[in-house]
Amino acid sequence: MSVASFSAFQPWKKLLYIRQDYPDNYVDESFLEQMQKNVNVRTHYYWTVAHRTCAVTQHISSIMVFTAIFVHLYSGLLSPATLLIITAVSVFIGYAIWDIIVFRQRLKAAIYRGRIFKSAALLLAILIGLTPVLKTLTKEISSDTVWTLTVMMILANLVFHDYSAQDVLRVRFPDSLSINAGIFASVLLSSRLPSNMHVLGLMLFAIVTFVLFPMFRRGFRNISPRNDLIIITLLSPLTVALFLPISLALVNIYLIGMLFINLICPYWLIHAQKYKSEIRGPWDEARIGRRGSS
Amino acid sequence: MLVKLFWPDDLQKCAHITPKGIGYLVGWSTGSSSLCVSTVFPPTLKETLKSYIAKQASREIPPKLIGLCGWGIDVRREDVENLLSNFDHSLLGHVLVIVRMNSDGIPFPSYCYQDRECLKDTTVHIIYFARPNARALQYYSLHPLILDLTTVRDELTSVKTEVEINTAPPSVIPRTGRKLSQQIQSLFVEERSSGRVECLEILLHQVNLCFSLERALSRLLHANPSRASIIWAAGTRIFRAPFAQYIGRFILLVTTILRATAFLLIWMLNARFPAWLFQGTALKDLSAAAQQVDLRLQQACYWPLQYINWRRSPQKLSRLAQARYIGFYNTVWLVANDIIVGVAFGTFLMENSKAIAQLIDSGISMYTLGTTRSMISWLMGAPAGLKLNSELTSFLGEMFLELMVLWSDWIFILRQFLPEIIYVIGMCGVLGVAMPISLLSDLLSLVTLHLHLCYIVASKIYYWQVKGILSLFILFRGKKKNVLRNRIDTAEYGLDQLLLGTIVFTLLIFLFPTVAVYYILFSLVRLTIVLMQAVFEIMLAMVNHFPLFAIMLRFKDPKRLPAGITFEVCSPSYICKKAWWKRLVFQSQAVSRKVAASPKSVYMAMKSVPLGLDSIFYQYRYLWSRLRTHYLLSGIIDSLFTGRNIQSIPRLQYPTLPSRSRHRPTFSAVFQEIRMIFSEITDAETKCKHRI
Repeated sequence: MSVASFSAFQPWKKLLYIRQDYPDNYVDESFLEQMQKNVNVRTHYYWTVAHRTCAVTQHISSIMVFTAIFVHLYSGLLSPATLLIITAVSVFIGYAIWDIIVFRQRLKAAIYRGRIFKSAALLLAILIGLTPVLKTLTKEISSDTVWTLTVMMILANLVFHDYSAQDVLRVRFPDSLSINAGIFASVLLSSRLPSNMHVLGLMLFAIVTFVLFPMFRRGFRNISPRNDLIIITLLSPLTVALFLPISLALVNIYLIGMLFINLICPYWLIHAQKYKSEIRGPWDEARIGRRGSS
Repeated sequence: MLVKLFWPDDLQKCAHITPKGIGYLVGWSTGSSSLCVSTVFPPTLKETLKSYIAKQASREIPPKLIGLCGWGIDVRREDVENLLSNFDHSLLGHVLVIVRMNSDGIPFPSYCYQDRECLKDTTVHIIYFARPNARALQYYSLHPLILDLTTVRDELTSVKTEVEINTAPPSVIPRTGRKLSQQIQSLFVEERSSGRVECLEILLHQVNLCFSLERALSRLLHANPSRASIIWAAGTRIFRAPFAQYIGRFILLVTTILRATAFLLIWMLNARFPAWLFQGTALKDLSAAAQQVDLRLQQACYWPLQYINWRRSPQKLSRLAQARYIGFYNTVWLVANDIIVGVAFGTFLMENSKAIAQLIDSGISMYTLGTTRSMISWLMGAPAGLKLNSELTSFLGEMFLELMVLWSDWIFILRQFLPEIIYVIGMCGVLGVAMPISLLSDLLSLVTLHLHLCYIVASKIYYWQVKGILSLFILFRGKKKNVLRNRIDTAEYGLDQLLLGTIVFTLLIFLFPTVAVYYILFSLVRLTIVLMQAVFEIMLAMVNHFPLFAIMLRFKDPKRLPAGITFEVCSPSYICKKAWWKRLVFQSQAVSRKVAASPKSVYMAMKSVPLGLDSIFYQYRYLWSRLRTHYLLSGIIDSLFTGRNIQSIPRLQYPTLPSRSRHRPTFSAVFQEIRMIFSEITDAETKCKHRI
């Protein structure tokens, strides 16, 4: 630095279009004042995170239930009539709970009920009509292809699923891709089944698993955080019970996996938070603040 | 000062003076430095010459006296004085040239006079040309002849103005490089008070008129009427007899009736079916034979108009008139040629009708029925190891096979009568070879009608499937097509829409290979048939548009199809036309004579460049480009993939007719035409009455 810079009397201004006596790369003590570090980082608490991770385990469990049901159907342990009855009962119960939840918050439930019944009836009719076609659709494709494709589709379902909680009044399906992948997988699987009733049962159960149950879960969780635990305590034993006749190894893998995801992964996440170093400053893109009213 | 003298190479033969005599050079003079000689007139009949030139003075380009010529002797000063005193200023050209012709007929210009004064130090360029026989319609032209009437289509139907079309630049084609062409073109540009004037066009016009001037002058000299003119006079007297009027009216009536029926037929052929039948196409588009009949009828209706336009064109040797002339005679020749070849082809068909019918019969049963059936059966199994959905493939296969069975029952009736049908087609050969060809093309489409139907069915199914898959794929990804913004946006569907869409999408995806296989089979079959019909169309196009007349003219008399002129520097003995060995012997004499003449004169020969073959065959270029765009570009490939219909090329046969008749005539237009024809008859009748 030359003597001239120390002898400058005018204070340094952060402007490049005035000729100043300081060199162009001079910085003073206000440098990087406006930098903010780790603005978005919130401190996570272990048990809250573990609690919220139940959403993922719930979904994995329900998919495992679906797979178990299919294996039982395929091997003949489960008869389609039983499956249909179970599906009908669970839909009915789920709908009753849903109705109570909605009814508490809104009074004009009658219109919604009418619409829901109408579309459900239409869907059921079309599904019954399409069952013979679906049965023979992929008959010629070899089983290996079918199993592989199914696995890929279910993975897609898991990955693209919407794990958030939502308001019960405005039902939306932002995760169309995952639902479609699930239905695609079930159509693939249904061609391996022996009769039309089997196909109908599987398709209805698939709709319950991939569409209705997630919707129910999302609404249910929104009400109170305790409901999460209720669901998971109901689902896990069901999965274990269904899988026991199939394969013990799978049950062990499932349980270990559940524990890992639910208990160890949150710890890992919190542990990794301390490596987070994110900076933000006036050099970023402008963020438009959200306004409460227009 | 430079003077250009155009000298016809047969002047020696048509000169009306004896050797060792003096004659007047009659021709034209342009500006102050260009002269064109037509003939040499004996000085004894100068009064006749004077009266003739005076009579012609009102013409656009009046002939004048432009000099003196001495055959074998020198022109004396007294002869020049004589000339200047006898003829007054208006009968003489601006520049007078004095020429000495030697015994071989080679001109050697001596000196020039301008405004009665002898000019010192003049250079005369002599340009030889072969005299164009105007009776045989030979002429020189700077611009190439237009054969392609599509560029001047609309001018052809207007008679009142001779629109001068300068679509091509004047071509003075250099033989020895570009520099010579520039020098020559600058040679013919004059500086006048009104600016620079290009004289070359005017000079060529005068060159073209040489023949008729020479004829007129020789008629003056031999005042006996020839036998031909007596017959001609007698003929015109006969025409004026009232008896001929009735025959004329009768012929007119017959032609009007024919023309009216022709118009009616054209209207019927062009009328469109209602929209629910055949998608509202016209009969003309369905059948090649109907198209051919329509084309011939339209040509027949346009043909007298062509002739009348040509007769009425004021200047017979302009480009427009020549184009009309060639168009008219081309049609005549084509039709005559067509009929000759058609009769030959027709007799061939008629005589061998049984054998040909058997051939076609075996072709039908083998290819359209047998092969197709075996292909469909192959598809119903597992073709090439592909795993098709067995239910769907058996359903589709059964459906198409049923269609085949039905069709083979119907076609059995046709096959009984096949020899008779071939015989009738052969009889139609009398109307031109295009008729049997188009009828055969129609027979082909009739025989393969079932394949056409199968193709339509298969392509419709395929098209719907592809469309469904593409739009449902968008749903599968959770997006929707935004029609307002014409893009694909994220969208959230209702539950039932989502579920239904997914299930149907899965269905369509898995059924796609099955449908695609059937579609590929039938579209390949259809493509083959369309290509075969294209071959027929090409043959028809060749028959309908072969430039027979132009080719014949080109080979018989290239001077009638000029496309420019070319100048060549030559020796003065160019016009002697002696045999080459004689020229070698007499070469030395000519050289010495040349030295004796003015040392600066240049002898050039002007030749006409005939039309090139590529401009004669312009129609084939046009046809080729249309065929190529229709069949080879991505349009066909696109329709193959998306499942749209493959069509054969439309309207290939209509380029030579004027644009007015390209549009489908409505009934009212036809009615107007008929009324016009009747009014023409009444006009002609009143004209005949006046003449009587």
